[in-house]
Amino acid sequence: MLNKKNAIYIISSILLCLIIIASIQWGAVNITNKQMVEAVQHFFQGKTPSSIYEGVFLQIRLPRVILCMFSGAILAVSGVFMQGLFRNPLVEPGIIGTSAGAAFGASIVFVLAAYIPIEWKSLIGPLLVPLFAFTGALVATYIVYAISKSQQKTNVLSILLVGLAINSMGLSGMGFMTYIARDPQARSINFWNLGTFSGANWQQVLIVFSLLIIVILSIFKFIKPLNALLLGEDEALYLGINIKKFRRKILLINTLMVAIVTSFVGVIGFVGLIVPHIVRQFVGSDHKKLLPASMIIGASVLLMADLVARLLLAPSEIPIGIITSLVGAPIFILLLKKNLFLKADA
Amino acid sequence: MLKLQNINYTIGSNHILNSINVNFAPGELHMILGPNGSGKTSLLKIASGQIENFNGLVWYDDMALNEINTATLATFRSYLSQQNNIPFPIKAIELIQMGRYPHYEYQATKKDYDIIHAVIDQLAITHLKNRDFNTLSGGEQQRVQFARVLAQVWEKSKNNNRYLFLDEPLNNLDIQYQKYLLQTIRSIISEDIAVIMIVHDINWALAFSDKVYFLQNGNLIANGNPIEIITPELIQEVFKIDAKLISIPGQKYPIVSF
Repeated sequence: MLNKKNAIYIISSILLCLIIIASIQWGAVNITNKQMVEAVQHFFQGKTPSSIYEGVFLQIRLPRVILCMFSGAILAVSGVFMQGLFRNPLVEPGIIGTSAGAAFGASIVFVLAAYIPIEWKSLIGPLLVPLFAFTGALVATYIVYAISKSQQKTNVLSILLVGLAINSMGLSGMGFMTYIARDPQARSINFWNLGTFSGANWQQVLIVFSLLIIVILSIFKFIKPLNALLLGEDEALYLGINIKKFRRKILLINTLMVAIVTSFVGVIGFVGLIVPHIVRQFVGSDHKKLLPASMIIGASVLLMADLVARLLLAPSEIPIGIITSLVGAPIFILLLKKNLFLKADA
Repeated sequence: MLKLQNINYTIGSNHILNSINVNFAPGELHMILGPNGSGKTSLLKIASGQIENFNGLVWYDDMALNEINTATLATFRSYLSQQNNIPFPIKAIELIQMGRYPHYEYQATKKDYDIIHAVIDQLAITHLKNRDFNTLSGGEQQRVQFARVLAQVWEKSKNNNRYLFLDEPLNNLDIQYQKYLLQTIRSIISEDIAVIMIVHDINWALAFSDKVYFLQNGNLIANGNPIEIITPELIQEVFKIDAKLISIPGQKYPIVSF
């Protein structure tokens, strides 16, 4: 069964399991196998955690690892979606402003929380930040998309430049919110701007899990349109794809994905760029293989990044966005070089 | 029968097509000729459902084009565009398989795979099927794309005639493959399939087409049987060059010499 076709799934799944176990055990506090097993047993027997280790495991480490895993899968899928929609291997939510738009929207809630009527808060409570993030992300993505479409021929570089401008607008909006924020709020915006899983809790896991289910279900519907779009929008239409309808759906779902993840864990760039790029080297561009493999590798990559973020300066933590950008930006430059030279040759 | 009635198409203040009335009958190979910018591709895109903001009516076998949904239309109409690049790695066979998308929901059936392989055999491109599309030469890419659009309308449609649109399919092909492709097209034409293609070489039109259509500045100047309507006068009028028609003993059609 271990042919070249499914080797990538098997190997990456084994890798993911190993990283999950390592991520649960290693950290500021190390947890042994025995403590893990006991914690699970006690949990199902309805007993209260008997030691600090069990508490750390159940309330801190486990939600963090699961949230990180799901977020990695979602961000990688988001990269695949956007690259397919824009027909451009260099776009991802962090680069063309989707994340920055979400971050700006979310920062408004952080700073102005005091002015939001208490009835509102109790009404939509934990969804307030994602709602603002969603609006910001949608506006940002839509502007980039509309401008890139208004040109006769979509050009790899022009999308990146428009994205750069939108990204700057999102960041300066967030800078302004930081400036007018009082000190503790400002610090939390800053830390969260660089991405972190330190605040992970079970409520967030539950919301992101529901999101992941929606994403997986929509993937089945998106495989054919995304593949057809590789050939171009005209060709997709000739293959019977209702492009307008598909575009609306994928933009909406993609924005929802980025907004929810960003509002919980902050801006984590480049995962959506690197992961699909790596996976394409193994399985090609058929989204039937690209999407599931990207989810597994995306989860693994982000877990590894989080592990580095926790262990490098332990017991203190580095924001995970710094790690992903540090690794991702050079790869982005290599990709940029490759793609621009390709265009020049054509 | 594909009918275009009184088609007018403008972009801004530019008149691209003026009052075009034309019928494309199944069972025939139709070739559209004309100078660059005469509206050939626009005509093809209007007839195939890509361009929607035109005036006039398009009928597919007594169904108005704007009442056929995109997915249904794709089961009996396919279209080969002029070269466009694909910015991602993709195998030739994966690309050809997309031609079967209108015919299955999630998983290709055995019938779909049979058709894909029949098309690959027909076009003699077995050696290309596992190559990355982007590493192929222009001519090889053209043949792989042709395989895709051919796979799309390969089997008879239950309720409709089939329509195959080809926008300059001979681009990038050497003479051997130009002839091979035209022979292939002739061999697949049956009473329920119409092929409508744009070509530049008048000699290919004389040799292979059933009907020719000459466009100039968005007007249909002449159309009909190629041997009857292609004359030095027509070539002079449409392309502004002097040409001679030379009969070849034992050959049913003349050749054009410039």
